[in-house]
Amino acid sequence: MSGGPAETAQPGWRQTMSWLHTWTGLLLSVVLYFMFVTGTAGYVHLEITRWMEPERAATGAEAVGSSPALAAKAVAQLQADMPRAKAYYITLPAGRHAGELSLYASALEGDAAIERRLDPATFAPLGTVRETGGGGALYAMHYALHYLPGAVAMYLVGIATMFMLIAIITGVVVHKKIFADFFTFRPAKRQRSWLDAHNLSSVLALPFLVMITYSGLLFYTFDYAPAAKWAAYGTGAEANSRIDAEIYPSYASLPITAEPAPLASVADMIAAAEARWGAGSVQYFNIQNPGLANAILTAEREATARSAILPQRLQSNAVTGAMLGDPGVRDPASVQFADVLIFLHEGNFARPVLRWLYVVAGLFGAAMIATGMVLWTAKRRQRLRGDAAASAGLVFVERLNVGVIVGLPLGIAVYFWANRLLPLGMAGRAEWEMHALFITWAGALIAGALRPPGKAWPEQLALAALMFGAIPFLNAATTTIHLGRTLPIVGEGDGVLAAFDLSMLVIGACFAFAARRARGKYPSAASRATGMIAPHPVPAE
Amino acid sequence: VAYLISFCAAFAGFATLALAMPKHARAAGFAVARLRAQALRGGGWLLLTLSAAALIAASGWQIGLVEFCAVLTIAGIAVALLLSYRPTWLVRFALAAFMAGIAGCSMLLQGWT
Repeated sequence: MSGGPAETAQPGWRQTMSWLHTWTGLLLSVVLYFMFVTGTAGYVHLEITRWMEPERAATGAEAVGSSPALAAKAVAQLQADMPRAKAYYITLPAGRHAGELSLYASALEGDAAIERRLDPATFAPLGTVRETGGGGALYAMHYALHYLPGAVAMYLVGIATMFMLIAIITGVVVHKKIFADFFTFRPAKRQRSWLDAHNLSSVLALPFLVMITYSGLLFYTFDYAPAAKWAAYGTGAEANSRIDAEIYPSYASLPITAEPAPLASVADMIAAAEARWGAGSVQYFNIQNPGLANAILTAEREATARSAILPQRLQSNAVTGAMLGDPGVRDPASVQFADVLIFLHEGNFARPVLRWLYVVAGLFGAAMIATGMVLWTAKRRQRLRGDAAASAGLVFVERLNVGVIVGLPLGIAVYFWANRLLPLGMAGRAEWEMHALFITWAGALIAGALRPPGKAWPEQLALAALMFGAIPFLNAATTTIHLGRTLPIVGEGDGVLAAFDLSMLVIGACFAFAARRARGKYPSAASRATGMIAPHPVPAE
Repeated sequence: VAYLISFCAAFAGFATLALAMPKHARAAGFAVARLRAQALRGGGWLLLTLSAAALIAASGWQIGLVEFCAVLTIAGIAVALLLSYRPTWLVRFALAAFMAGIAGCSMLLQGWT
């Protein structure tokens, strides 16, 4: 598992793979680390948004009426706003979407779409008091990055993901003892420990890592691998619509030339779907061609209530109100295969325990990348003999690592701070929350470049511990949704909000622990000059 | 409860598999003969199968298998950390997990959820 290419004329298969693993892993590790950290936050983006909009009423406190009645009211609102629309999309306040009602209407041609997030009890818009990017902004960053044009971000993310896939496959090849070392972690042994940590985090989370990386590429299959499409269908809009018709028949839109016809009772159609699945189990529905004779209503079952990975849907004729049942149109097997992987990637079906485990697996991915980055430097540092000077590359990566690995979480902590501290009426508030994240990250990178790594690591880790650990207190000082009220025993109880604050405390504690362990890990400048290596600290326990 | 049973089974299973490996067995304070190691290995795989079965029975095979992968990750890291810092506790913890798993099963049989 050596780093550079072997010096023999004919490097062996494993050495070649090792070289590939090292460099595909290192080159875009910053992008990949960014994708894993923000993507992991994305698994709980609705919950994060809930915390970042403290003005919202406590969820579940108010009865919002039955979902059929609410569905009818929502459609009536959309009909008033946009009577002639291509389609209406409504997300009901069920499951993880408790406390919010989302409406969306796509226009027939040219006009702008309508998008609203409402309080289901009052129909007042949500998120107007405090403009925030919420968890959604963190979630979107993991594939759209930030500050970059969409296409550039898409291809950069795609290339990074392909590198990741190569690094995973070659990593399995070069890991000579996957089973023998399955449980092996040897602490306090410098490079050996980093290698063990890298191996453990990647091998134990391997099913997740392979799934998440491969499925990540499937979101933009035709953009990343367009040649087959060009060969079979040609290019241009006409080719694209032919592809859509042949490959995604279930998404085909209905002809808009039908006669006008009024909608049947939305409440009755939703009630019929609930009769199948149980009360409150319709998460989402859409009506295509509302107001025309061929209008169709498609209801989707609440994601965590189903026992399948792919969504469950029921369709109704939206003019007669008759239920058509399970939509008969099936996409080709290849598309269904991709859909299963994409739904696994998104994990919308995950109930709370599995959602936590998704987050843990995501953190394993981030840990694998971070340990890989540190391992690269630890290995090269260890190879230096005596007072040999470190190469410019080694120094660069060493100093980059601190700011990347600790600076990004630090930036996310500051993102939460900014949500609480920026003035409420500020123009571009959501965008400034995001700027705060990136300014912090840039600051951490600069600080990491200027300070010796032996100092920068404990400093930045301690700062991250402080910033995360203080968030529940900041929250208590600035809002009424603090732990004193959200913990079930002391207050009225709100599991989501309490879990957010407690998670911040746990993350802070982890950083504090890491900061303590990071002290004295790097040989000091003095001992390096005399060719001595600083004695390795023995773990405190 | 299905998660608990599955985690306990996976933890006990991984611990058993680790004990079948001379390196880890010595660390945990045992010397394992070849025959015993094979029996341990069989038992470990059986426990892992039970761990998968518990979740598949509870959540259906699609989501059950996804949950099983996640539980394996957590159980694996638990065993690895225990072996690194407190190797002699491994057997005790594995037995405790085994008992907790059986307790969970009997809870299920008595109609708890």
